[in-house]
Order: sequence, then structure tokens, then C-alpha cells
Amino acid sequence: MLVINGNQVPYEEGKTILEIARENDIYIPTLCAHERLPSFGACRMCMVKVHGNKGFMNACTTKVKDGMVVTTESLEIKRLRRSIFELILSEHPSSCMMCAQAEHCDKFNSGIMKAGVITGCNTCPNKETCELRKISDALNFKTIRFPMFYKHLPIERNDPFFDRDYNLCIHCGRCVRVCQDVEGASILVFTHRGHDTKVGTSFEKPHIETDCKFCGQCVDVCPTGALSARNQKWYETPDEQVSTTCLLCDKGCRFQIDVKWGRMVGMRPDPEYKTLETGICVKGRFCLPVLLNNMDRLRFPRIRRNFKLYPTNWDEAAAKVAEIFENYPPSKIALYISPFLIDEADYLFTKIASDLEITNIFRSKEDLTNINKKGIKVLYTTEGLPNLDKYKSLEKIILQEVFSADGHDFADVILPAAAFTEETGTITTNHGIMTVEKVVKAPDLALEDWKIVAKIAQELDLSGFKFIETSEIQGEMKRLGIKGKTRGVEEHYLKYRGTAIADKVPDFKILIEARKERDKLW
Amino acid sequence: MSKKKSPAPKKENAKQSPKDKPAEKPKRPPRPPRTKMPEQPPDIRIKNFVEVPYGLTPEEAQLEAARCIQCKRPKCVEGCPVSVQIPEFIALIKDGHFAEAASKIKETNVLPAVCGRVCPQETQCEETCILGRRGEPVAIGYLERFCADYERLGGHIKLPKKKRPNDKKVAIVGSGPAGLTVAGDLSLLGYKLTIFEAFHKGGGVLVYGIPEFRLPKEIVETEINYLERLGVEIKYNHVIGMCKSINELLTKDGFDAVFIGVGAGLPRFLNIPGENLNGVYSANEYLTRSNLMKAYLYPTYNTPIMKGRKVTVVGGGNVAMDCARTALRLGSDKVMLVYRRAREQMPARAEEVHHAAEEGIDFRLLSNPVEIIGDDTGVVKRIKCQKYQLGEPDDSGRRRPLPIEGEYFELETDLVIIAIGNNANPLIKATTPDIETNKWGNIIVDEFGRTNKNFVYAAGDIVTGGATVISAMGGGRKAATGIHRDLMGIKDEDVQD
Amino acid sequence: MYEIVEKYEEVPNVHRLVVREPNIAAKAQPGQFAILMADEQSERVPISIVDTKDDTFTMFILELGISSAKIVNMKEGDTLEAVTGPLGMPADLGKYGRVVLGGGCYGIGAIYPLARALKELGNEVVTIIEARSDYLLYFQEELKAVSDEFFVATSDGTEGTNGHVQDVLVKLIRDGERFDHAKFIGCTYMMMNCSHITSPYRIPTKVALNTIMLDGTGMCGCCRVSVEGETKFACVDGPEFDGHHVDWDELMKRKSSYLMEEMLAYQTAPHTCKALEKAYSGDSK
Repeated sequence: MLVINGNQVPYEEGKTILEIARENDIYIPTLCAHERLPSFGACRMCMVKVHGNKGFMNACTTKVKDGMVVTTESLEIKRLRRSIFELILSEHPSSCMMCAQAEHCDKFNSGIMKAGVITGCNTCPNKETCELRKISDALNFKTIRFPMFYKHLPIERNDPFFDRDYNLCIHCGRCVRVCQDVEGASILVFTHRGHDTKVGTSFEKPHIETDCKFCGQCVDVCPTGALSARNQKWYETPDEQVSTTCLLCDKGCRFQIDVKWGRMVGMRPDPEYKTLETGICVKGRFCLPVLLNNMDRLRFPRIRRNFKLYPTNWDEAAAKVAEIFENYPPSKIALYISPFLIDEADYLFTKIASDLEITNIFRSKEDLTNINKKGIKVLYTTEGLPNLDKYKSLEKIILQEVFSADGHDFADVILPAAAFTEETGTITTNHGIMTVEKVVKAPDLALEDWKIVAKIAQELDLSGFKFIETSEIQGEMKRLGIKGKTRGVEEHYLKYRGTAIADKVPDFKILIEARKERDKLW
Repeated sequence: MSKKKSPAPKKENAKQSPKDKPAEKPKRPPRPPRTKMPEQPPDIRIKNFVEVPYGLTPEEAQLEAARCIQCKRPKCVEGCPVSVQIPEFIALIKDGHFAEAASKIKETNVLPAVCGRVCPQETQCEETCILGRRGEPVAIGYLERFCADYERLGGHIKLPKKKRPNDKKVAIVGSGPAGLTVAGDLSLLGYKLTIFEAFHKGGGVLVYGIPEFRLPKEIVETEINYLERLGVEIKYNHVIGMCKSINELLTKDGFDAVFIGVGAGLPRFLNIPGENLNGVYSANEYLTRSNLMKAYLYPTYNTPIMKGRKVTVVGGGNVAMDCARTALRLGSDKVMLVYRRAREQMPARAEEVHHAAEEGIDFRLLSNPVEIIGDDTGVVKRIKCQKYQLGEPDDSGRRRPLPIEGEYFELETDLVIIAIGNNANPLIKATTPDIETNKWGNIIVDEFGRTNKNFVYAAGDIVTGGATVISAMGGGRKAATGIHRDLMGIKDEDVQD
Repeated sequence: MYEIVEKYEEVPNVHRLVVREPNIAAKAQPGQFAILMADEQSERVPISIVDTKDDTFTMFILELGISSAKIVNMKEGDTLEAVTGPLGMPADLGKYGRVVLGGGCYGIGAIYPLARALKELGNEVVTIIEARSDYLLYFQEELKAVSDEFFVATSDGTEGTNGHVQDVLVKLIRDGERFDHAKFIGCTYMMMNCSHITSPYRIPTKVALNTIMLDGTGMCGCCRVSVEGETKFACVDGPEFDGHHVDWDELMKRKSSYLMEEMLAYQTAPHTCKALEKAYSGDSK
């Protein structure tokens, strides 16, 4: 048994006072503690009184003992915490907590200014979630005795993906610990000693010159805004959060997507998904919203007319594809099935192929040599392929893609596909079968790949393609004993379908350009 | 709608109509009907900014060209403000000499690709076409557009012969249709020309006003490029009146003449309550954001634009149609157009009104806004309109709209675009006080574009008030003649025309 | 193309920018502004002209949003896509007597040409500037040189009065100071507060409004403000207006028009600064 603030609470061997307190809804202010990190005891905000002990103890590092009597709130503790907090604030902009005009000014100036350097108040993207402000409110903090000392450290914006401003750093060490203890990387360390202590890379190199993988975990745990994701920091509170699985490789990482205004605005590893100790990779953490919100997305079916590709509707586009299929013998038609399709779409492609007696199903670039060998005249590809013009036998190209990509110029029909964050279904990963959730709506007329197949099948009067949801396709696959396969896409693959991610995500381009000499690029 | 409609060009529609056959020439084979311009279906085009018509194929163009009866005294040329040699270029198309046809047009019209798209042919060349009396006129606009596109897409734009350079320098203020015409005409005559443009891109209303789906900006760029290849210098980001005055151009900078073609460019508002709420745009602002700053490509282009779910456009001109159709393309659910007269009195081109109606714009005619109502955050919520009826014809010959006492209605809306025209921008007048203007601030000129100031000329909307691209070009042509005569010492009365 | 002759960060977020543009250098008068574009995709950003020298002019630009970020991330020797100006009406300048000037943010720099001109016209100039903290104050020596009296206020009390321009102003007036004219440049909130203070004392007050603008020549009406019930265009009728008659509420609401769009832009716009691209792209090696 254990007593906190005069109330008995259940005792659990091995837990810290902080953990027990949180489980019992007792508030203890903390800055350096984080649920994903081992205790550290750096900020000393969580000071509590343990009866029988001299002085105060850190709630985050002190393990409970049976019969322990703990006080978390008293005048003395509060005074102590205020002094500690005052010291912390002497190195972090505090006008937003102290200014007499703050409340009025907030009402008047709606929204956050997207300032290059955070100098407090409405220049701070962390304003709504700032842990310092929460503590300031809890301690009812209004004045500071020591003037704020601005360290005038250079703002580090010379790396892709994130900005670092150690002028805002309070040395809680969360980033250092997540880098070391969770990611096992030790890119971020404490440099210098004493008053000059600072977080940074060894030898103060830019991250791009270290072995940093740009996993972004340090950004996720920073309580102050010292570390921030350049592309993902200004959206304040998201409208909703949706979890889904990443399809960019076979690893099957789960992540949580912040959605605002119907767009993906931020990504982080799914906190609910405990099997993943480490975070998602740079492609998932930083590239996806930039990639999939890109203006270059295909939005409309297009068909060639008068030497130019003009937008059209689905009926006309599907009719055109059907017309092409009907005008060529199946032996002269080939399907290229991209590894980036969900299992249901993959299945429907093989199904339509067998219904149409198309036997040329390509799944890799090597298969393309069959085009010349077999004199293929029609190629229906689900990802952009380079150098299609060199296959002289090809008369018609149907391109189903997410982006305008290689081979686009030669296509006769272009079919805009939804990205994997815009469809529901399953994929087979190294972790087995995992679900993909529809996070946002596909842009304009872009459609899920399986729906496109179904449309074409309907146009060809084929039966057995009338599905409303992917679950029905899954049912059929189960009945027939068909299982999805992992697609053989390794973690460091640089494309999504036919598009090089770096082409759409400038920061990623910088990263892989800088590291092209290494075998593992990040 | 049939889902299996054929996308093939309608070549087989060469159905013969006996009406077209002139009685006095019985041997002539029956003339095919006017070629229809193939275009994007409305349900698709309202979601993209790609040009609506696909353009004619060479076969279609030749077929259409064959309809022209090559009048001895062509009426069509009379109907054209810049007197394009229409029968001649059509004959060249008929014989398959497409590039030559383009050169023929360019002898008198520096902007054929533009004019082929935005001229109101139905009230100009095609109105006077002799075929139009008994059937449908030759599609002169389509053919003009075809030649220009053929030349541009083929990538072989030929430069015409220029006269030997003279030592005269002319400054052109504004790179809109009037300024470009003056530049085109005078550069062929050997003048050294400098265009001063306030924006960072040339073309004036062609780039900031007319939307991409009506006039692809690539075309304007090509036309400007063509002028640059002719030796015209364009100085961007120069707001004449602010960074230099007209007088300074004549004195300090040593120009022998200055042409003012700055356009109208002061948006009119309704002067009703609520006009400064968030979500009320002038047509100029809305279109400039979307066209010049390419806000429809936001955020790749950094200028934002409010999209609005329910959009109300106020006005009945071409600009109002452009705004309404842009709003649809930016993704609005519903676009309403409030206009105080009836559809017949709309100043917009029939084709534009037709396209707008086809795209589902909701016309709220015979009504006029009296108040825009917002919420407490200052954002538009509703617009209150008064009903109107038509009275006796006014000075313009159109029946005068009269408000109906006490009859009001409200429309739910979150974006209001005011497209009721422009007044003259006072910038030039304010910095050149001795230039003579009328009570609306429009510069007063003679028939050759001469203002009251020596060697200062003007044309386009700054003279006429809001009008069309081609009328500005016509004015520019006159002014170019005026400049040429004055600088070369040719007296008007010595010239027989 | 317009060359950046000089560029450095005065204090965090505030950049001094000197650009070569002979027309502006020759013509600019106190109170006028220029419109800048870093590249073809940028917005047109209006910036106050602070000083001119030879064929160059100086501005102070705040990094707020993508288009200004692009500008401040350029280096000396880089060129801007577009520089247009001078635009707007010059500020009203006369011999008033004793004049109080207030500046905050970019206004600390923007108030300078007014202070200097007023001083040259024989006025007594009292200048008050504000910042969140002492480390955000800049241009003080220059301002002191053209002011008879000079005050500083900081929100966290690290230098001068703990508070804002308005707090210093109130104190001066309560202490019996008389002012014949006042001008304020800075954030809208500050200009509004200060105008409210001078109003009961009938001190003629001018404020330089920083509305959203597009063309800057009166063509679009994007920058409209209500002054004494009448709609004015800040770009051609202003930027200076009578602070006692500006509809502040409307002004503030109009400024928040594009908050959502601006936030989205950060995500997909390829705004990575040119310096970064150069530093790490393959061709630099």
C-alpha cells in the first residue's frame, strides 16, 4: 500500500512515483519525462516529498516502496518548483506567458504567424501544445525575476526536413534519449559541459553529414519547439487522426496521420502499435504528405485526341480501354502489375486477365523484355515505366498511375489512381496481412485501382466484378484460397509506383543526393 | 447521356442542306454545314483549367475553309477591327498551306492565337459573312485559331521582314492587347520599342484577366516571345507614374513618343453594406489571383485564393462569366450569377453565356444585391438582393432595369465576386495632370490615338472604358499609325485612305 | 533581375535587405513601399522602403510565411524575380512641432525614414520602440540619432519599460507631455492601441497599414480598408491613414483571410531555400 497526498493508492512493485501518480490521476508537472523514454531526472520539476527522507525526491526516478507516504503538493514544493521553472524560463522565450496584453493580443491576432525564427507568442507553432505553458498555468506564473538570456545560437535550417533552434532548448534530453535508447543511433548528444551544455550532433555537423536516418523521433518528443518538422509545424490542432499502414515497402509500419482541411498534414509512428519499437523511416515520417498532396497528382482520366491528352470522364475513358482490349487479340496484350497495389486490386487484375485470356502478366522490369519477344501491341501498366518508346511493337499504352510519370507522353489513355492513403483494403507485409485505411479523399476523379478494373470489366460486359467494398473482394479471395504475397519491395526503394519520391519531395532529393555514395542512403 | 459516345471528330456530319445552295449557281456542290468545334464535356471541364475547345484537326480546318466562297468584296474584312485579310488566309488553309495562312494573318494581326479565341466574331467578321445571311457563316475564328496553333505547335514561327531601323524610340506603357499591337506594328516599321509593364509578366489583361481555360497562358507567352524576337524590349515591374512619369519618359529617357495602354484597372464596387467582409472579391482580384499568380495551382504557387462552397458572382459581362467558371473549376459546389437585367441584355458573348449555362451556373437574373451579410468573424454568409423588372429602353438601347419595391430575397453564399466593370485607374492622370481626360477619367484621343499632349498617344480601355481585346487592338493599330505619321512628319491630310 | 547587395539578420526573424533598383533608389520617399517576389511562384510581398543609397534601397523584412521565407533565405548576390516600386503615397510630412513616433517589429526600421524627415523639417521627435525581449531590438543607434528623445519597451521587461509602446505613450502623456502629431508603424494591434490612446487627446495620428496586397497599383482592391466609413485602397490611397478613423476590427478580420491556405502551403510548396539546395545538391561538388 502507498499513500499519496493522504489518499491510499495501490502499490505496484517496480514502478516510479510518477507512474503511480499518473495512473491515479494525480498531476505532477514534468518536462523531461516521456512515456516512451527511460527516466532521466534532469528537469527536477517533478520534485515530491517522501516522508522520512530529507529534502525532495524526483518522482520520475524514485521507485515506490511499500508503505511509502508521498506529498506531491505543498506550499514548499510549489515554491521550489517555481524557482526551478524560473531558471528554465530564463533560457526560453517567455513573453507569451508573461505579457500583460497576451490575452487581448491573442483574440486580436488570430492564428500563428509562420515565423522563420520562433521568438515566442504567436510566432510559436508549439503554442497550443507547449508543455512550458501548461506548467506555467499550473504554477500560476506571472513574473520572472531573472531576465531572459537569449543564447544567440544560429538557427540550424541547413538540413532537410527539420529545423533546429537550440535557443528554445531547455535541456530536457528527450531527443538525446530517444535517439540513443529507442533508435539506438546516438546522433544527438549533449555537447559541451556546464553552462554551455547544448544538444547537437558530435562535432556539430549537420545531420545530413552524420548517420542520421531522419526518423524524426527527436522532433516528436521535443516539448519546446526547438526541434520542428519544417513542413508539418503550422497546422495547429488537426481535425482528426487516422491510423493506417505504410505501403512504400514490405516492412508494414503503422503510422498515425493528422488530417486537417481534408488533407494529410502530419505523420508520426502509431502510438497504439506496440510491436514497433522504432519509428517509421524518413519516407513515412516526412515525405508522404508532401508526396501525396503534390500538385502533380493525376486527377482526371485523359484520352489522346488531336495529338494531345485531354481530360475526360470515367465512362469515356473506360470505354476507350475496353475498345482497345476488344480490338487486339489477348496474346498481344500485356498487363504490368505494380507492386504498390493493395492485395484486392492485384487480385482483380489477375482476375480480369484470366477472364480476357491475357497471359502476359508482368511484375518486374525484367519481364518487359517479353514485349519485343512476343510482339506485344498493347501494354496496360499500373505504374509509369521508363523508355516505353523503345518498344517498337507497342501500339497502345494505357497508364494507370498516381502521378504523371515516365511513359505519360506515349500513353493513349491515362487513368488516375488513388494513393494508398485514399483507399481501404489489405496488404501483405513482413508482419503478415495488415489493413490500409482511407485517410483522405482522392483528388478529383482519381479512383481506387480495384474500382478502375471493375469499371473496365463492366464496360467489357464481364461478370463477377460488381463489388462495393474491398471486404467483398477479400471474401472472394478467401473462398478461392487466394493469398496476397509480400511484394519484394525493400526498405530503401526510392520510388512510389513509377515516380521517384525525390522528384516530388525536394528535401528527400537533397538527402539522397548528399548520400548517394553510401549503400544505405539514410 | 450515353456512356459509349464516340470521341471521334464529327467528320461524317457532312449532311447536305439544300438551303445552303445558292440558286443562281446550280452546279456548285452543296456546301457542308459549319464545322462544330469539338470541346471538353461540361461535367469534366468544370473541374480542370485545361482549355475547353480541342481545336480543329487539319482535315476539319480544310473542310471548313472550303465553305468560304471567296467574295470579291469581302464583308468579313470590313467587320474586323484590324482588317485581317480573311479570304486570303482561308484560301491558303483550303490548299493546305497552313503556315503561310498564319503568316498572312500576322501581316495585320500580331495576336492571331489570342484573337481566334477571345474575339467576339459573331458581332464582327462572322456577323458580316455573306454565308450568314442564308445559313451559318464561315467559322473564321476557329480557322484563325487553327492557323496560329498549327504554327506555334509546329515550333516554326517565322519572323516577318522588318524595315531598316530608324533612330526613333517609342515607349509603350502597358503590355496588354493595345500595347502589344502598337509594338508589333511599329517594330516592323523599324522603331526601337520599349514596353513598360507594371506586373512581372507581360500580356496585361490577357494574363491577369482571361482564365487559362479560355486562353492558355502559354499562348500569350509565345506571342510576347515573338515580339521580343522582333527586337521589342520589355521592362517588367515598372509602374509608370510611380517609378517614372510620362514626362520623364519623353525628356529624361529620350523617347520620341509615348503610348499609353494601361487599361481600365480600377474595380467598381456596388457601394452596399458588407462589401469589405472577408469573402468579397473584386473580379480583378479574383482573376488576378487565379490567372496571373496561378492560385489554382496553390500551394505550388504561393498566392492563395478563397474557394468558397457557394459562390455568388455579381454582373453579366464576360468577366462575370470568367469569374463564375473559374469558381466552378476551383471546386465550388454551387455558383450563382446575379444580374439586374435579363439574359438577352447580358453584355457577355453569347458563347460565354452558353458555356457558363452548360457548366451549371445558376443565373439569378433581374435581381441586384443590396446588402452582403456576414457573421461575427467578418466572413460572408448571405447576400440580400432586390428583384428587378425591365422598363423602357435606355440610351444604350437596352431595356432599363427597374427595382421592384419591397421585393427582396436572400441567397446563402460564402464568396461574393463583384464583376460590374472597371473605372479608369487614376495613376497616370494623377502623375500627368496635363493629360486631358473625360469625366470618367478616360483619356481623350483623336482618331489616331493622339492625346492633347504632344507625342503622347493612348488606346484601349483607358480611352474607351472596359471593352474587348480586339477593340483595344484596333485602337492600338490606329495609334501606331498616328505615331508613325507624327514621327515621320507625315500629315494626316496627305494620306489618302 | 534585381540583385541583393546586402542581406543579414539584424535580430532573429528581422532581416536587413539592400536591393539594387535604380528607379526606386531615385524616386522613393518616406512612407512608400516596394513589392517583392523571390521567384516566379512567390506571392507579391509589400515591404516598406527604409532608406536609399546610390542605386540601391534598404528594407527590413520579417520572415513570416513562405514568400518572405524565400526572400530572406537568399544570399547576397542572388537575384529577386521582381521588385516593383516605389508604390503608395508618401507619408504626410510637415512642421508640426513635437512629434511622437511608435514602431514595433518591422516598424522599428520603417519608422526611421519618417523620424529623419520630420527631424530635418525641424520637428522635435520622440521615438518609442517595442519588442518582446531585449534581444529583438535593433536599429537603436540610427533611431537615436534622428530622435530628440528615445524610449524602449519590452513585453518581458528585459529592457526599458515593461510593456508596449502604448504604455510608454500613456505615461508620457500623463506626465504632461504635449504632442502635435503622432505616427505608428508595426503590428496592427499596436497601431490600434496607440491610436486609441492619442484619440481623446486629439493628437493627429497617422498609421501605416500593412494590409494584404496583390498588384499594389489600385487594380484589385484586395487592400481595401474602411476609413471614416469610406472604402480606401491601402496601396494607392495609403499606406498612411488617420489612425482615429480606421475601422480596426474590419482590418484585423481582413488580415486573417488566408490563414488556412498559408498553413497548407508549408506542406507541399517546394520552398526549401535555394541555399540549402545548393549546399547539398550534387552539382556543388
